[in-house]
Formats: sequence, C-alpha cells, structure tokens
Amino acid sequence: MEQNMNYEAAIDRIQQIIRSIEAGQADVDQLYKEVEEAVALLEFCKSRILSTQQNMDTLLQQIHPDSK
Amino acid sequence: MREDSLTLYQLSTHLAQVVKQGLPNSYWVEAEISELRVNASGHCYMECIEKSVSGAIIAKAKATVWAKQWLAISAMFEQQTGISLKSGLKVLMEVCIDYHPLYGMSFQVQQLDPTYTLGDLQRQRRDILTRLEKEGVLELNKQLPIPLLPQRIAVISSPTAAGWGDFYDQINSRYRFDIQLFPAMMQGDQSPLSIINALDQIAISATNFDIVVIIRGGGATSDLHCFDHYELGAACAQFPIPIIVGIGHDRDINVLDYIAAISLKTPTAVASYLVDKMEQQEALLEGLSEILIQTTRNILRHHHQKIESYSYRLITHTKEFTNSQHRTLDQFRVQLGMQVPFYFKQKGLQLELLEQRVGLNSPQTILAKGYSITTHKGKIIRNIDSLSVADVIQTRLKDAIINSTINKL
Repeated sequence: MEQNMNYEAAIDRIQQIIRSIEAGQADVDQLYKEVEEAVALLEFCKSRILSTQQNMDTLLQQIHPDSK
Repeated sequence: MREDSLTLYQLSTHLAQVVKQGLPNSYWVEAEISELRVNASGHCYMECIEKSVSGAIIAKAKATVWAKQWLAISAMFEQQTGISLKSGLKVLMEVCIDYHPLYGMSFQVQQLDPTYTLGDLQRQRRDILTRLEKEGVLELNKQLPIPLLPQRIAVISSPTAAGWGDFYDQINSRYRFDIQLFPAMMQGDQSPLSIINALDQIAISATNFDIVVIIRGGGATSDLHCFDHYELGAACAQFPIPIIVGIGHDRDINVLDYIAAISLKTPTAVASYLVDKMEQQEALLEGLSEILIQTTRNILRHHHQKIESYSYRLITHTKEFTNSQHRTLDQFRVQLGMQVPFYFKQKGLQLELLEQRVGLNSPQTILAKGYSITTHKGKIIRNIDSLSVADVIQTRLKDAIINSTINKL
C-alpha cells in the first residue's frame, strides 16, 4: 500500500478488487494478493474513520460538552 | 379740570360694565400659552399669544383659571393628552371676557378642549417627521442592523429614575452585559438638549458600544411632549449606533419612537429584549452545534457502513470465488473418478475378448475336437521333409501321448 494513500483512493481500489472478484475475473494466483490488499485497505479506511470520529468527538465536545 | 372728566376708577368701572354688557357670552378661542404659573392660592395665570406666519406676536392676552376649576381642568387635560398644561402649547379654551378696574382685561377660562391640543401636537410631530424625511434621515437609525449580541450598552437615563433601576434589575441575567450610564434629564424642556449632550458623549467612543438605550420610568402621566423635538429627533436619527427607546408610555407614540431602531414600552421591556436577543443567539448556536454534530456523525456512520459492506462483500465474494474454484476441481475429480474405472473396464473387456479368441484356437480345444498333434524332437511335424525311417515321433491326443517308430515313409 502506498504510504500517502488517501481514503477516497483506498475506497476506489477496494471497489475495483471486489468488482473483479464478483465478476469472477480474478486470477487464482493473484487472488490472495488482491484480497490481502483489500483487507489492508479496509483496515486503513476503518482506522481513518475511527480516528476521524475520535478527533471529531473531541472537537465537538468543545462546543457542546454534554453531547457524548 | 373739566366737569365731565372721570376718575380712573369711574372710567374703568364703566369699561368693565360695557365689556360685561357688550360681550356677555362665552367664546371659544384658539391661542398659544406663552406663560403659565399657579400661585399659592391655586389660581392659574396664563399669558396667551397668537403669532403670525412669520412668528411675530400679533395678539396677547391674560387668561385666568380659578383654583376651584384649575384642578379639574388641568387633570382632565393631562388625562386626555398625556401632557400637563404648560407654555408652548396651543389650546382651545372657552373664555368669558372680564375687565377689572385694578387687574385689567383678562379671560376667565371656563373649560379647555384637549382634542385641539392633541391635534396640534400631532401636527407638530408630523411636521418634525416630515422634515426629517425630507432631509433623508428619518429611517437612518432604523436601517442600522441590530447587533446579534448587543452586550455593550450605553444607557441614557436619569440615574435617580425608577426606570433605570427597573432596567438594571431586569438585565441582570446569566449573560454578561457591559453597561455604562450617561446621565441626562428625562423630562421637562431641558431634556432634549440634555439627551443630545449624552449622545455626543457616547459618540466620542462610539466603537465601544453595540447599542444605545434611552429609558425613563413610566409615570402615570408622562410628559412625552419634550421628545417631540426636531433637534433631538435629528440627532437620534443620524446616530451611528442603533437606539432602543423605552420611555414608559402606553399612549400614542412620539418622534423618538418613530426614529429609534426599536421602540418598546418600558425600560423593563428593553432589558427583556436584550436578554432575549442573547437567548436567541444561544439557542441558534446550540441548534447549529446539534446539526454539526449530527451531520458529522451521519457522514462517519455512512462511511463506516460503506466499509462494513465492502468487508462483507469482500469476504462473501472471495469465499464464493474459492468455492467455485473448489467446485470446478471437484467436478474434475468426479469426472476422473468416473472415467478411470470405465477406462479399466473397457480394457478388461478387450482383454476378455482377446482371451476368448485365444482360447478358441488353443491346442487343447483342437485336441478335444479329435485332432492330434505329432512332434519330432519337440517340433511340430508339418511335412515329411525332416523325417527319416526309424525316427521316433510323438503323437499327442486329447488325453494321451503315443510314441511311434516310423517303419516306412
């Protein structure tokens, strides 16, 4: 995975991999690599969302301390 | 000395009689009060005038309201007009004309028609407003935007007035207001200039204030006429900070009410308005915060669901894919499993056929049919070329072997 991957690009790549598997176009020799990549990207996206959520909560608490 | 001369008293008494006889009725007369005083006995003495269009005094007369009528007349006038009788007012009064040898000519006021004065005041007010409108300043203060948070307040009031206390009590809330009092006289003829002075003071540090409040305690009979003042109206209209007035009245409105950005009935109402403004903004901010929180949460939730669904799809489709690969392989195995026995069966059949065919032609079969095989030295004899007399040959039958010696060829 690229070092400075962004969320949108990650999502695009995940979609691409899933579509290719869905369509049965995957190459068995490549399958492991692709699924491995997709899982890594999903983890990346999840952690990005989680950290954004945490940052956002901290931020929003400043304006609305009892909104937890 | 002439015989027909009269003493002053005689002439004056005669004059008094002539006046009484010649002008016995009462008259309704329009006049402007130029002076008014009530003496210790409670009698009211007025100086009445009429001015020409150019402003010159063209008539002048004394008028008197006796104490027994004064209380009723002045109270009724105040009650209906909201102002007290005083100099500068135009009045319509019913008078009897009296000439007194000692005090001279005077009008004895019987009654006053307050509606005339009211109409005149309204006309004056209209004139001031029309003039301000012509000068293009009438709406200027109204057009200033009211600050969202009017916290820095310049108050023009009399520090001893109840209105100031009411205002101060009411504005004391959970919000912080910076209030600075600019003392001014709030009633009487001096008040317009006093208020203008206070405005000038505020203007010096205008950037320190969000709003100007002009308040006055609401007495029962408020003298609001002083606020129908051209210079005061002009100063307020052109003031660079929005003005809120609460000069305690519930009758009709005066020039300041028209000019001010906001006009409220009482000082308490002004304070409530300011506190309400703060509350509105707080509620608005809370609403916006709520929307911000909900919206960001929704966006994150949406992305979270998206990721979840991708994870799910990745898992299921990968499984499906590998399953389908398994199935293909299984098919191959099944096909192989079926093909291999068939192959061997086929081969077996072929072998059996061959065996059968071999069996049909085997020596035993032939021997059983009655044929015999003759050999010489282990070799089947097909002709006599290799045979000689006395050779021993073997003849094989189905069930026996005969050894013979050749006697003759």
